[in-house]
Amino acid sequence: MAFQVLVVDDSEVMRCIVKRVLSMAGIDLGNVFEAGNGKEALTVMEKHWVDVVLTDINMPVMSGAEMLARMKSSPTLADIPVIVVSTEGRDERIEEITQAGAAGYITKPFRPEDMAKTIHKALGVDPDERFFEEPEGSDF
Amino acid sequence: MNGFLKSLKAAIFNVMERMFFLLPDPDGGSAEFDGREFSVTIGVTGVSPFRITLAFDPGLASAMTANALGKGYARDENTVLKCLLEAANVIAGNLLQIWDGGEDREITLPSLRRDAVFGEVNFTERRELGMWFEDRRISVLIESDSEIYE
Repeated sequence: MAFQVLVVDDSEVMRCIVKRVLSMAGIDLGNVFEAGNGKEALTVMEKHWVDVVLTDINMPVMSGAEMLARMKSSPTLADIPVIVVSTEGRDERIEEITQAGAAGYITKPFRPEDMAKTIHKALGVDPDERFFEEPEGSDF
Repeated sequence: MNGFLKSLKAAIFNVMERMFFLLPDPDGGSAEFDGREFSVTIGVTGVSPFRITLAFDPGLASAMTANALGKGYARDENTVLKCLLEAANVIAGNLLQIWDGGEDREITLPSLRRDAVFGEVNFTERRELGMWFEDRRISVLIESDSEIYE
């Protein structure tokens, strides 16, 4: 199954870096959508199915925290996992955003494997599970 | 205990390795530095605010952009500069995470102009250090009041 990802950051360069890292992370990717702030992200989610959102916190127009709050109060968006990708790495900030409903937190700079691990955990996917599945009709 | 200079070097190393996939030359590079460079500056607020200017060898700046975004992007100087601004932002953010004195501080927006960060401030101390990544140099200027080194 290919995952539809939405990358939200006011920096075009950082969105590009996140997309490149996603492609290196070994994640089964479908479409990767982009938005420059929380408001744009909500509009993207109205139009497209999204499996996971990767968002910065500090952005103009609408912050990542406000976008998360709006998603949590929306019946159609509340269950989409939101992973915060930020330079802000203080424990209290991570705790605060997790309490608000974020499914994960990645601190910049990040490695592709950090990204993969956090996304798989947020989606409840074991990337290696295919190795443990028994094929139908198997005698083993 | 993580002192300032040790933490700053670690932050630069972390960002260059994880975000730009470039490894350091621990003994310094051998290439001649011809004086051309791309500079970006970022400030850190709080008690004893300070300013960090990172000057990148153009070849290093291009390699960073190519590794992070793709080879085609490295030909556009405007994109290279945006990439360096993002690097400064993440380096300063990482510094505040690992430096013991990083609490209760915030980073400013990065700028291509040094005087755009805190304006024309007369800091009491200026220190410089150089780091090399794959034979290309970053020069770092730290302008501060001496309290950050204590």
